[in-house]
Amino acid sequence: MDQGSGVQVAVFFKTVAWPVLAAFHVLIFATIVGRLVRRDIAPRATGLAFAAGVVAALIGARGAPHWPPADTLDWLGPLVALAAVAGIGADAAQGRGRVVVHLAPAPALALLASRLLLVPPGADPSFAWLWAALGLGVLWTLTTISRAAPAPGWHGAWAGAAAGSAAVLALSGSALLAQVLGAIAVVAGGLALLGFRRDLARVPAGAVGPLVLAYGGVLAYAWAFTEAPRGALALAFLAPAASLAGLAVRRPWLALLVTTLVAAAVAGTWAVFLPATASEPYSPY
Amino acid sequence: MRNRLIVAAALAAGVVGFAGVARAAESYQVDPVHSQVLFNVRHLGIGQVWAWFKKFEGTVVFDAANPAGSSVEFTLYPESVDSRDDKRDQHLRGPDFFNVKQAPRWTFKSRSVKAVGRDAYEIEGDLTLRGVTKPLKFTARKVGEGDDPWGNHRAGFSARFTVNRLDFGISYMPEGLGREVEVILDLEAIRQK
Repeated sequence: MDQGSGVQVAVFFKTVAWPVLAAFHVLIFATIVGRLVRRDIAPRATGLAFAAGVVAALIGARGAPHWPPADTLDWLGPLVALAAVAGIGADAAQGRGRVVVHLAPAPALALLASRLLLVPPGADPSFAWLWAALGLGVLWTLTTISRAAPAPGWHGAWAGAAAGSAAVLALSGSALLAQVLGAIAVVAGGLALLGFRRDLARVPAGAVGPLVLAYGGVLAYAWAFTEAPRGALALAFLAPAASLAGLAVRRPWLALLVTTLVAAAVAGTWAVFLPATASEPYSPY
Repeated sequence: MRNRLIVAAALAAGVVGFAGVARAAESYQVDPVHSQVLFNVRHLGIGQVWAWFKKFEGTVVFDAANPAGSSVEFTLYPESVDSRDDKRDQHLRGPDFFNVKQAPRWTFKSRSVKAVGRDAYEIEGDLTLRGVTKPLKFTARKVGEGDDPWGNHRAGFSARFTVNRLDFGISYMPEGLGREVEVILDLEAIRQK
């Protein structure tokens, strides 16, 4: 195998294989534990499975995070994991009918996450993080509303949006962030397919936070610290709202198809025009 | 009375003479126009890519008689990277590598300096890249010293060392690009009056 092929194989494992394996292991573990305790806990582990996939992708792409965190990506994995654990708690509370317990922490988590992601210690403070918090809040609200749609369509929207955004960033901003978004697309796509199982057909409330923070966090980082086109990033930020279409299309396969394609088109169409505007060909490899 | 004056004059001359031999630490400012900071890294395990930085500043406090009294402070602006390819430079400035918008300055501050040979000095200090601080030890040589035509006194220093970029979060694509980065400093500094 030559060096170029070796790099491609390594990127495949980091972006596809390890994140999917990590996510599926969490679901398999939750299923086994659920059988032991005679409770169906796998559905509530969806957010945790997604977080495991994202953390695996981040570690694969740039190694273990530094402590204290030195930049945005050092914060991203721990925040997504924290959101997943908090989401399980929120699910339990919601099960007892207290919906407000789940909704109330969202603005606080969005503010905290934006502050940590965009203004790490030592960096010059700016107010970009407040705009990022607003964006995360809007994304959180829209995808919470669409959570009532079947799981395949809901996860499909995230997969399509992440795939489209990955194409935009690979061509304009950062191959590293494109790789992380690619992993988000693959893991969300896997969860979309698992959504055809009866026990995973509904999206748990706890799945919203990890997806919003992982996807929105990467885009906020790209907005603040890369040269990627702002218009493309704004569209990418809105693309997961395509999951709202899943509310109208109740057949899971059709919902998956529609939401994935719409989200990918909204987030990724800009990528079609980027190669034409590039001044000269360049490969980072 | 005459003898006392002679003794006093001799003592004064001695003090002045000693001060001339054991001159106190002198402060030098790095002259960026006549200095270079270069690095190279392995590419695909095949060849090497070279680049340099255009913008940096530094202060060297140099005490030849007492090297332990010497110190180095250096600041480099990674946005000024030049690898002779605009697209690659743009990629280097982004989050994949230097992340210059989030970490616009790299710094080095010495903690100790000791002589390890003729005009050779072992410098230990803290290197901060991308917000991550790690200890760094390297050997620098004083390669020359003299006056320029405009009345400034200059000294030249040279050093070559390697850093593991993964230690500092510059960890993208370790399969394609070398982990060890060789850094070459070739500095000319002007003594402050």
